[in-house]
Amino acid sequence: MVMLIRKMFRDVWKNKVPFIAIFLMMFAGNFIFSGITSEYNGMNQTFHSYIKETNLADAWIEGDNFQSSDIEQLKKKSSIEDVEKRALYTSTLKSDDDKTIDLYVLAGENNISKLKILDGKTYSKNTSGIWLDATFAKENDYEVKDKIKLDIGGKTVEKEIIGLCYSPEYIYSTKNGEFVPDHKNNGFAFINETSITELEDIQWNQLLITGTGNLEKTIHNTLGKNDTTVVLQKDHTSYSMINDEITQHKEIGLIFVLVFLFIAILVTITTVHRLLNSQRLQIGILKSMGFHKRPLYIHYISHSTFVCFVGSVIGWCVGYVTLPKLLFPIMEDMYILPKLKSDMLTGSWVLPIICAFLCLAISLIVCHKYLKGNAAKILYSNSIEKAYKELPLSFLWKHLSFYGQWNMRDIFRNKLRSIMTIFGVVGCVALLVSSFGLFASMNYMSEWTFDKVQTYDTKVTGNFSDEEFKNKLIQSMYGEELMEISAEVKFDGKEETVAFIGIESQDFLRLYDGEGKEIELEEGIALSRNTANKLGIEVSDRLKWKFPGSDKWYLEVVKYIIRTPMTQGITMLKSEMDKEGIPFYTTSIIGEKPEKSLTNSDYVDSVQHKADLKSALDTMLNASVMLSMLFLVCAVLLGGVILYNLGTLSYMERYRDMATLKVLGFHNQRIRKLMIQQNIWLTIAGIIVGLPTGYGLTILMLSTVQDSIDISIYIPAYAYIISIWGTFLLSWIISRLLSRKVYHIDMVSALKIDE
Amino acid sequence: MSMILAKNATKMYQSGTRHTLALNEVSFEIKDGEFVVILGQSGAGKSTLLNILGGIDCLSSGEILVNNMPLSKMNENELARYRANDIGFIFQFYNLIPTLTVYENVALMKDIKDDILDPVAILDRVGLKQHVKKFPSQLSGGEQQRVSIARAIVKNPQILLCDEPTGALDSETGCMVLQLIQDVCREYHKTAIVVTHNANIAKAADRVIHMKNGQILDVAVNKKPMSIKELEW
Repeated sequence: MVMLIRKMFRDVWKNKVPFIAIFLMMFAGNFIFSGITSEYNGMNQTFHSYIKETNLADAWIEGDNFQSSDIEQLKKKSSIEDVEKRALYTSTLKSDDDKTIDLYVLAGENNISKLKILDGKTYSKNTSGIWLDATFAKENDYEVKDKIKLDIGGKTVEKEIIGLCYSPEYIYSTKNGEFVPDHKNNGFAFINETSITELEDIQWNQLLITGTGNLEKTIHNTLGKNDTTVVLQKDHTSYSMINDEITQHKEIGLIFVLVFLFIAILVTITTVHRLLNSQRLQIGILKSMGFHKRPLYIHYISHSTFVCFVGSVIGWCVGYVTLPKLLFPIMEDMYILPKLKSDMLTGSWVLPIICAFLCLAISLIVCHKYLKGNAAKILYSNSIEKAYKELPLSFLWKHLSFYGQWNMRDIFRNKLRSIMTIFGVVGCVALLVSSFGLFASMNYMSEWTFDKVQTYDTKVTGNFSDEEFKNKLIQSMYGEELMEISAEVKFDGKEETVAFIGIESQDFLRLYDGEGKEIELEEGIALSRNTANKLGIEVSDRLKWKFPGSDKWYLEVVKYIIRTPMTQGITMLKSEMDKEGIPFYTTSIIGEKPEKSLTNSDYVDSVQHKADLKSALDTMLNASVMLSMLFLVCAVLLGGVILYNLGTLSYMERYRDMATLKVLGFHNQRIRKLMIQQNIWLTIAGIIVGLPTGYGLTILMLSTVQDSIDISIYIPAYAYIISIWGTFLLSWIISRLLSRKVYHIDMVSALKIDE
Repeated sequence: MSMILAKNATKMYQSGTRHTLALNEVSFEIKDGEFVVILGQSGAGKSTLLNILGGIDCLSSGEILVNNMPLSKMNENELARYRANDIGFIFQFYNLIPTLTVYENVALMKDIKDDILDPVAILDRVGLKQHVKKFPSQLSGGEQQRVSIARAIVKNPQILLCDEPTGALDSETGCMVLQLIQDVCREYHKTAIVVTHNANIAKAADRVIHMKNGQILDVAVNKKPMSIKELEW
């Protein structure tokens, strides 16, 4: 047995190219699996332990002014564990009114959605001072004991920072119209009721609930009001965004693993076939010497299984150690969580073992074909000459040259090898198309958003109750009013919280249908495609909705299903709203850049410029660039390994034929062309299948993006052209490299090969 | 007139520190149109000599002239041209291209030489006209060797080099194949060199070169070579 083990190592070394391919494919599959699994599981664990530790609210109730009696009523319900009230004020830094702070005034202790204090004092209802968002503080150079001056609806409040903190409600937070969190300009702060004497008559506009069961129903039944909005934990952006992100990583990881394992299996099949075919004589000799089938099975199965296991284990370990370290910094830009640590999913360590068993099973099936006969049969059967019959559909090929027919027949004669080569190319092209497709689609989203949908330069958000100020601003901006609010929608028993956009015209916010054609909304509502799909709504259906804090339900016909990149929900014209008696609250003015004096007004909460939003989107695109690069590397790796491995296999299998041609007087160049021609044909076949596959893969990848974003698939012609030429170039380089082996064909061996 | 002239032809193989003398200062002459048998046991150096004559291996020292052309002076391209124009190889294991039909295996030679003979006529001559559309795997060993002969002849080379052409065949088929080689050589006036360890074949040769341990033991000229059919196999 020791001798056979030695032989195994020597065989592997002698046939290193295909075994390296098995190693690399198993390495890549396990690398991505363990890397992505430990990354998303680490994120999941950190996230869940964080929300458990901070006791994230199970529901938020938003209303005008909650009383102690409301709390008492809710607390009486058995499904509700705890209730806290607080007030939310939007404030700005006195020194810079572009910087917005969500200021929470707490009525008592902070037992629900607890702050995680990073520096300074723990929250207490009696401690005087303010607890500031640690990320905002870092971006704006605030430290504990510094003073911060806030403008709260015209009132100036100055407080000492006594703590820097994270809040589980701000794991992910963006202001209206932003794509990525902007921690430099937006933050939060907490203060207790006793510390903020400057505010008179605090309006307790939020209740935080912890509990179980159908909280929404319990709340509505208890408070009996329709002018409140309930947001459940699952719908809160802090919860849903990170959950979607985790799901997305899980799906991407799975797709990659399946692709690589599939290719690894194909490579294993051909490698074991080739090894056993080349060792028929040795097998016959070993059998005739008295070796039983069992040790021979173990010996020949062990080759690929050993390599596969080593590749899988190394890939698994390297992936676990390195990939999360690459991905966590990107995640930490998006989500504010305690330090992310990679955490392996329980039982995921079995993947290398499963891979090894899979490889073992495949090798066993292949080995059976070669080892089942008796020694004489194995020794004297002709191993090289495969019976060959005419090509299927021969009339198609008869006009080809000899070389063409030869290559075509060789392709059909070695179907497994040819199919595998095509699969390799398909994988390579599909990943390249996806890589460029993802990148282009993400970039197109920016163009779509800022050049096609949102054509305004500036958006000013604030309080526009003062008509005079509002009109001045509209005039200054040559702009129009915009209403952005959330709405609770009901359809066919399904309920969702979506965005509601009221627009004066379609000059600054344009609407496009599924084909990208601009539409004119005159009556009814337009519904975003993501929302329509979620609720199962089609054009002409009637949708029911209400605004938060109101008990009035509205019913409108869906006139169009529209594609809109960021804000998913209902869009309606102001004129139509007026006609239907739906109140229009101006939340923003959109248009050209206004005068500075107007934006300095106390009525203005924030001013967003297109350039800032574009640059924020570019930050978000960095993640897609990373994904695109990963696809690109995988495409080259996959294509390179498969084409080189199978090209070598083809060369080995045709070695005798090529040596014969050399002996007969064929020049090396002619034989090289023969080799390259076959690879080019298989590459063309792979490209033809790979292009639609790549399109499908891009759709699959984009479908994993959060529901709050709608990305149109956009694969420009250059993406296809680069993918085609890239694959051709790769195939051509590898073919050229391989065909150089022709110079080293030993012609003498052509005469001896069967002896 | 000498078709082939070997002068002190020596071939040394080196494997690590071990040197093997495959040909040891071999000198001989082969005349145009002769049917020559190189006879010897395994390791005698006959295949090495054949490979060098065919331009697929080179000498360590000495010289071999073919039609007064020194093989050792030829570069790789010239050797390929020499093999294409002047040499027809017939292999022990036929070495046909499995994915080309019988006709295509023969007609393939058009690609390396412009003035080849008519492949159909040659295939007819070797008795395979009815098999032209078949693939090698659909033929018997003898038939495959006949295709190999047709492929060698179709180029109209000056020299046919046959490496144990009957080695993989039964005696009856082997006899038929050898007869065919002898016949086509006479008909098309070719110089044929057959390497074999079967001493009986020597009786059919015009010239017999007997080799042992890389050296020529003797060169015999048959004044009256026997027909292959008359040989005791």
